[in-house]
Amino acid sequence: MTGKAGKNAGPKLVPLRRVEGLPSEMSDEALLAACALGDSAALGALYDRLSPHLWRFLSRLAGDRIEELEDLVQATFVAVHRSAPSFRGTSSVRTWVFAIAANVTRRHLRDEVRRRSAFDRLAKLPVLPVGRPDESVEQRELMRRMRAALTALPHDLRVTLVMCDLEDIPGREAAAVLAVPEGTVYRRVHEARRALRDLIEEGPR
Amino acid sequence: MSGPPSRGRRVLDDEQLVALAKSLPPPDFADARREEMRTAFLSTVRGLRSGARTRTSAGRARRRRLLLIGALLCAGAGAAAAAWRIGSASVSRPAPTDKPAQRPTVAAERPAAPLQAPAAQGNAPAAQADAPAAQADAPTPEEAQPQRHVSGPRPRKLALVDRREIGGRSGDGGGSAFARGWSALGSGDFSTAAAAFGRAAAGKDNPLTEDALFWRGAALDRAGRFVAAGQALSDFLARYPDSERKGEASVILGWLLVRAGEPGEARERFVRALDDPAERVRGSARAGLDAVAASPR
Repeated sequence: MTGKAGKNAGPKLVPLRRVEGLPSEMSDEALLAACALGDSAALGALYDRLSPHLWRFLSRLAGDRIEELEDLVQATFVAVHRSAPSFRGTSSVRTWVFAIAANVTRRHLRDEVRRRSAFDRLAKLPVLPVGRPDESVEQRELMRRMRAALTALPHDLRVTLVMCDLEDIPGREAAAVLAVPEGTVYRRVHEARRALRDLIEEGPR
Repeated sequence: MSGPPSRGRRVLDDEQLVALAKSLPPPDFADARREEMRTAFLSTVRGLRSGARTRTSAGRARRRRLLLIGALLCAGAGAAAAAWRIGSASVSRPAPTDKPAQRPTVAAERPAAPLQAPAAQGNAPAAQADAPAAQADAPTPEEAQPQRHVSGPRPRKLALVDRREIGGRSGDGGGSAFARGWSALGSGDFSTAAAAFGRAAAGKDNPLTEDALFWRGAALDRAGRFVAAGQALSDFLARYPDSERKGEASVILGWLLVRAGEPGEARERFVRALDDPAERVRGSARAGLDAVAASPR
């Protein structure tokens, strides 16, 4: 940044050079580094930037109950705040936050009392009739099946599928944050797709 | 969907499967609700930080007291044991008639020492128990333990969205105003942002006050209210001379002084920013010094 000064006589207005680096202009990594130092403004900016993505990720992971999603978002960000000093840059900040969210969700779901099994939920969905002309209703039913099937997947398979297929995170990066070999990631994605397909198409036997 | 339907079955290939899963809409995450959650989250973090500091300092003080008590008791026990040995040694010699009268006194003192010693030992485990708690209080690179939430009694383990703080009714120490200021700053409404940061900084000093004062000055600068910005940043530097933002504030103030035709004072501000850790701040300070040097006197 260089200031310019006129060469002729008379008072010269030097253009104001503002210091760059408002949190809104900083990268995710810079914001996270600032958070690790206790910068509240950076923490707020990181929250603003990542919370919509985290909301979408958690809705795919844990369902669509709003109160539950709100709690999971908050719990994840508290964990992000505490873990900020440990970020090593082996993945993007977004992927790293997703991995934290996956662990938070795992504990949450493990503690949750599930009265109905996933197959019970699927059993309540009607089997798609053959040759039904109302495509929009059929599509809605398919979406309901998909949501229930996602919930029915084992947690590890679901996390890997959501990260790699739905959030478009590269397998190498997912492997780094999930602390598994890259081959395991691809295997899990394959198994998740197969299980998902079976759950949607076959339903309970 | 491809494939003939057969008894309700449809054949989905991988691409269709993923597309279908991606098309699932998430529940609505309204901006207003996100802002409320953001405010609640920052308040939670503030509570965690102050709670950790309080517990850590209280734990240290308690451990010091317990160690002191233990030391005094040990010293007392040692003195009592020494007195007992001395008394025993004197009892073993042929005693004059008044000697036996001393024995009950020494014997009376002896039981006191063993009674005190177990108490000292009993305190040690408590002191040790404090250590793991204090260590656990320090931020660790682990995931959240929602039960550490300190913003009020909540029956739900993950209830970190403190609904009492919606609208800032619970007195969140300026968090709501700060959040509004931040939102306004991001959307370019600098005057509104400056006013909100001013409200956030008013009242009792809290962890957001320093940030709020700095951003008030920055927002005023961006709003073109240069005189007010200069005053705000001067106040910030006077109040927080060791702030991590002192370099940035000095540079902004320096440029304001250049604009106001005060090159001497501007130069002082730029010089103070030359040792800032951030290269962008140092660079701006150097540019400011160049500008001051080049400006006609």
